[in-house]
Amino acid sequence: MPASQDASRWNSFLAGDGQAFEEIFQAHYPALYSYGQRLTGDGELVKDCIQNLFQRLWHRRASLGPVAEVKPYLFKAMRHEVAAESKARKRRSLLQSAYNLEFEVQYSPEDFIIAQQLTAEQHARLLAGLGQLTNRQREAIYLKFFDGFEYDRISEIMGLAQQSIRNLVYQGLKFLRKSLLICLLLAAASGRAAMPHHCIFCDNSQYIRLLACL
Amino acid sequence: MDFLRYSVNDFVFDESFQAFVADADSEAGRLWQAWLLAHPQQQAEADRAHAFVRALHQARPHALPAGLLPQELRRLRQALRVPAAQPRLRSQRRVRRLAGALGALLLASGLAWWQWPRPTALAGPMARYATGPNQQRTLTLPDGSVVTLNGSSALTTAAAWTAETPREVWLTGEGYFQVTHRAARPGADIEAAPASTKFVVHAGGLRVAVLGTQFDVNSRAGDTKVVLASGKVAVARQALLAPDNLVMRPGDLIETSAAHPALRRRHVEPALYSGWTQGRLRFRQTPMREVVQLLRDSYGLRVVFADSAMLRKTIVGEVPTTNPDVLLAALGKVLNSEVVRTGNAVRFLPARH
Repeated sequence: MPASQDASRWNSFLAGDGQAFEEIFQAHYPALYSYGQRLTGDGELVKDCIQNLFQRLWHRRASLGPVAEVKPYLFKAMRHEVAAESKARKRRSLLQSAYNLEFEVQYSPEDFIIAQQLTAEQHARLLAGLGQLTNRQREAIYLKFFDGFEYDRISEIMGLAQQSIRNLVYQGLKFLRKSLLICLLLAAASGRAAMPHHCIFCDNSQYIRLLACL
Repeated sequence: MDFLRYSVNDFVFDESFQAFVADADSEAGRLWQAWLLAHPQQQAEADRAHAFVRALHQARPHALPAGLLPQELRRLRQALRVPAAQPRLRSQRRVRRLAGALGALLLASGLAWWQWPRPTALAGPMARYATGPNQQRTLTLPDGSVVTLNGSSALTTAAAWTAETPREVWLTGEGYFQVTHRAARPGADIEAAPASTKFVVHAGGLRVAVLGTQFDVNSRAGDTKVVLASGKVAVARQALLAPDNLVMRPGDLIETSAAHPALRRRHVEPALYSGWTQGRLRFRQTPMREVVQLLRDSYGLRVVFADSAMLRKTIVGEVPTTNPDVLLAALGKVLNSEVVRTGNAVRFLPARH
């Protein structure tokens, strides 16, 4: 969606335009739902959080200012909302007394469209690698690549310094690359699979270097 | 940095390379495409890196369950219609505290509902024009339209206008608008007209859209009025729950207030409502009834006549608008009446001889 259209809708909303407010809700609902699902995996909680978030926005519009971009603003608010709500629910359920603000960002196989250039095996490896990242690394990678936010926006959303986000993404990518290589090596060593003709995840030179290390 | 020595990993970690994968038409994307054309020996490594980063982009968003969005939109509307809707209480102990907070919220949101945007609510470079008490100011907007601001008023608009975007201004106080036409065919249907030809005034919860005409907007203390001199104006009241709108005809006055939000229409003498721009009111056989309306609409004065026969009289003459007391005194003289003003209440009593 064009950012300028978003900004003018936002201004109309601040001015009390209910229709613009509904348009913002409709335009951003799918992305917020998806983000919330990845943060918690609990659809009911996500729906409640989006409701609470937008009800609060409407009531507080008189004290809200202009925002540079609407989407990251909503993501940040959503993250906050989800954290507060899951904290409250956990407290109520008495299952967990201590609360950890880190989200368990989850990915499931159906999160990925099987791209034409990916084999099912490569696809599975990538997922396995994502599963082994830390929660923060996963969230940063999710926001960067899936939602296409720039580093400064991710830094606002997650409330961390930009350099920390860069490090999270770098470490995450590095881990993914490495785990894919090891997977491949193990597969080759066990004789189950030969090296693919055109492995897109590893470059041959590294493969050989790693072999030499073993 | 020596891209020629880049391994797949180096490409993957390179932020500009990531930007290239995200959008091949970006600046980084064009640079990388050009570089790879010039250095085919690195094409294979770059391809692998590209495929890897691309795979990370190809997440499928969690699909929305069918019908969820409309259902949730209804839920939002419902919740905002009844701001006191059941809060999800965490424990009984909090009920009382929440009830208090909710009451305050209700009150605050009720008040906020009618509060029109403060200019700070606008993003982007904005221009703001304001007048002090008893001061008037005439502005020419970038499209050639002319706005006259009455005392204690402010007009906010984008600093730069383009031919593609609708012309939009935000008003507090009173302004008289003489809007130039952008539409090829004047008099076209306002709602159907392209957005770029519209001129929109936001004031006191109203959205006043025109293609090109002259009209007065007065928005003070939660009370907003629009008076149309000629042409056509589409007025919409912005409310989440019961928005209403109508098209004004020349001589119409449309009014909304915090106490009576629904749009009301009555017929007035439009020249009287733009009189302040010339600094004087010209009465030409104007029925006293209309003068009374004007006193209420423009000066907030409530007028009572001791003798209802006075209401049927007509007035001829010219008076300055800057001081309502001068106008009242003149009316008293014409009607042969004693005028007693107490605050905003004015009584016309039979003259004592």
